[in-house]
Amino acid sequence: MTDKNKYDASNIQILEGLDAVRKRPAMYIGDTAATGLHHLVYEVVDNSIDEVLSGYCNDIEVVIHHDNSVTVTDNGRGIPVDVHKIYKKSALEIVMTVLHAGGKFDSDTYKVAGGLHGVGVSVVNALSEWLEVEVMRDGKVFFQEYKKGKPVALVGEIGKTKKQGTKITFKPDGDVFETLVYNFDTLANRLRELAFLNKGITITLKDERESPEPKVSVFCYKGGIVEFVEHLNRNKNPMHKKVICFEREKEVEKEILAIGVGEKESGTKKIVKESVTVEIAMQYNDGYAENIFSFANNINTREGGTHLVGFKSALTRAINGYAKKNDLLKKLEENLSGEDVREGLTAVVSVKVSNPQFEGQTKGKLGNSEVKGIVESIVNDGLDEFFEENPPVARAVIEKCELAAKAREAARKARDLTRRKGALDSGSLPGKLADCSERNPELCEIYLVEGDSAGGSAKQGRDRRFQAILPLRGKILNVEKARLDKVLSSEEIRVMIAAIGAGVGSEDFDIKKARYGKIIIMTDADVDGAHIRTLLLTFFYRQMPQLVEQGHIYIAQPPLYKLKRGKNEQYIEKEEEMEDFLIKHGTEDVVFKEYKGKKVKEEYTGKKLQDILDLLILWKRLQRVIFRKGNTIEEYIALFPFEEELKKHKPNGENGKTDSEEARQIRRAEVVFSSEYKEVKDLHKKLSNLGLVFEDDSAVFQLEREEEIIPVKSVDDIIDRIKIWGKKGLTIQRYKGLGEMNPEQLWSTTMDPERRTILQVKLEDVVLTDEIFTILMGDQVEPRREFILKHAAHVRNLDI
Amino acid sequence: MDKKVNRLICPVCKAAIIKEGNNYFPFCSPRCKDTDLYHWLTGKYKISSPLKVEDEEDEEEDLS
Repeated sequence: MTDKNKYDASNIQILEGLDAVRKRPAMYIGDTAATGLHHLVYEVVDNSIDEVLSGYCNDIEVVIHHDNSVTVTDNGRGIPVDVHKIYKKSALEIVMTVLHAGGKFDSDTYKVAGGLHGVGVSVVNALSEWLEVEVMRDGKVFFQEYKKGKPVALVGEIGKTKKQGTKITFKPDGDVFETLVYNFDTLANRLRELAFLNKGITITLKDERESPEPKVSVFCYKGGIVEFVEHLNRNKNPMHKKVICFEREKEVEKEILAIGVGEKESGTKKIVKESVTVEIAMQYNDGYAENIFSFANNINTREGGTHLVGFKSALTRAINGYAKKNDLLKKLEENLSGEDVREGLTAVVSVKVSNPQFEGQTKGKLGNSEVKGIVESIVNDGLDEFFEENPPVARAVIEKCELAAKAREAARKARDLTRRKGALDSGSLPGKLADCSERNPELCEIYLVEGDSAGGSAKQGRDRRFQAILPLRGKILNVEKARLDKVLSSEEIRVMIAAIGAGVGSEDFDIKKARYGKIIIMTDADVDGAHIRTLLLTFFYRQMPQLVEQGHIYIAQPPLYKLKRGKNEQYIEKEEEMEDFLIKHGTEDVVFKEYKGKKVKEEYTGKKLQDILDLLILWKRLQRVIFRKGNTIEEYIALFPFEEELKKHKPNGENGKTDSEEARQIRRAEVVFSSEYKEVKDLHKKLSNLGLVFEDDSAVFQLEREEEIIPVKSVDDIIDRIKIWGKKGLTIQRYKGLGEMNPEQLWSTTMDPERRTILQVKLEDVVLTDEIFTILMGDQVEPRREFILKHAAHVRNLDI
Repeated sequence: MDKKVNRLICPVCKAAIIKEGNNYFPFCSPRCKDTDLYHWLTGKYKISSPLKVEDEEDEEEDLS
């Protein structure tokens, strides 16, 4: 061992007394709650890490005992035990009992040291009910015990050993701490971090409070911070597989003020050579968040500091530099900004410096000014070199940054558009809007009406006191004679935003300014209308979700049919309602007979017949739902005998594509578990009880009305026939568009609050609408087909 | 409904989002929200339907 590597009492200096610690513990460890309690462990572990940094230690063990006392053991050099020449005490006792005593203040002993606030293990001792330290050094074991920081006896030799290292056990003092219970995960996180930062060391955490076996975690990462980055990105989708990494060291000369009480040169200036080591690992993922962890001498610098500043500026410069040199940014007007190059970035920046200066409230910020330039130049060179050697990674990185830049540009333009004076101001209401006279928003409604002609009718038909009308026109574009694209023009969107009056955008939307309590979407009952409704709902969901959530968005329900019977008029809103009406009307005077041979077995009329028909209608609707799922009701019936067997299979939703027998069984099991299957079973039972099963052709049924006698063989036969009879004497008008109604009709059927039905839109509905929209806006046919098949039932409900 | 609740994703960048405490819901960030707005304000959003698609006709049939 050279003289420089000597580590004995002469290396230990005293900076301050220890008495203050127990009086103001928070000043030294942050607080006396859980955070401070855990800091005690970190402080002791940091001493071991200092030995790691000097190259003398690679194994650290932390044990939480039953009584929440903690043991930290390392295989470092062991704290010196010889007698200090100035203080006339064992160096061990000085380190353990004097604040700011230790080897770290002497840069010959520790080139690089962390330590929480540089206060040392004596603080832990001062704040412990008791503490025991064992030092294994020079073949011997030394021991000393303390109570509340005061030694119980002198340092004593208690045995021989071949090992070396330090073992400290302490029990935090209940008079000082509000809580005394250690949290395994909190400690594990910090120790894992330390293991990542110090490649190759092993840190073991053992919790003896767990029974019957203690819980043990071992942290050892040969890949160091590269593995750290992979760990941070474990649930994300990386843009490039290979983690970008490099490590470099630089020496700088620095003038410092000599410190150290009791040394001759104290207070004078001296030039020291300092080395700064910089280690970087980084990887982009497809997310948006920036996730950079910076460390200085293993301390997590949560508030950043000069190393982080240096890293960020070099990153922006290096990426722009590489892109320019290789002509990779043709589509961008400007350079990539710092925000662009950090979007989706996960990085670990770890620096080791000789004399770290920590600043800030929680000492979480590195202050050394010389570090910025060093990190900057190291990162610049390192990235350049890495990119030159790994062009595919470089291209992936630049593509990602370019996407970010484009998105940022779009967002900026949107903000400009919305903020331009007067553009969306409700002060200048759009000319197309026919506003109402009422000024209390809660009482006001606005109808967003598809088409100018329907808009005109609505304007004439409305109650102008509280109903406003805004006609909107969907634009239809025929693209290459292959597709029809429906869009809401930017003008329509703008007019709508202005009419609602609550602003728009990430910062400028204020629901309190909305001018209407009800926003009612009124579109034609056809595919175009459905598409415009989808666009509007998607817009509200995305840009004004509060309106949806608080129940301000509604869908008008214009009638589908007008029925006329003599002088009576009736409007019908839905297909199913129409069906029900026809059945009811068509059942009058009908006799339904079931024959057995030539004899009538059963005869149904009136209410009894109506009940049967209700069941048959249900059956038919169920048939439709099942058909849309790609099955038939007959297939469901065929599964009845195998139900118990099938229920043993667990559907997992993942067997849609494979064609193995097992997968087929699981698909059948899925059917058996479905709500439709239960309905089929129920209905089948009810119909069977009535003797109405059409599984064989031998059963003979007959419908009779007035002179007509119609033999029927299936559910469809019956329903179709009854519907035909139901239409007799009726004039039926089907409305294809709102424009077919005159203002009075529109008022009485769709707008009069006394008579209309309006459907309140729920957030769940629009989440699905957004999904549908995302599919429908695309040009690809395949996903569209797949989607329509898969979601057919919902699609039908939403009428899209 | 016995159907599992779908995971919510940001319509622009497709990142997973949470609803609670998210001022930019259903987006992940102000940037994505404004990007979406830009698309609306520049007429980028469309519903595209192929001219010859039987699906659409099927739907109509069933409804009538």
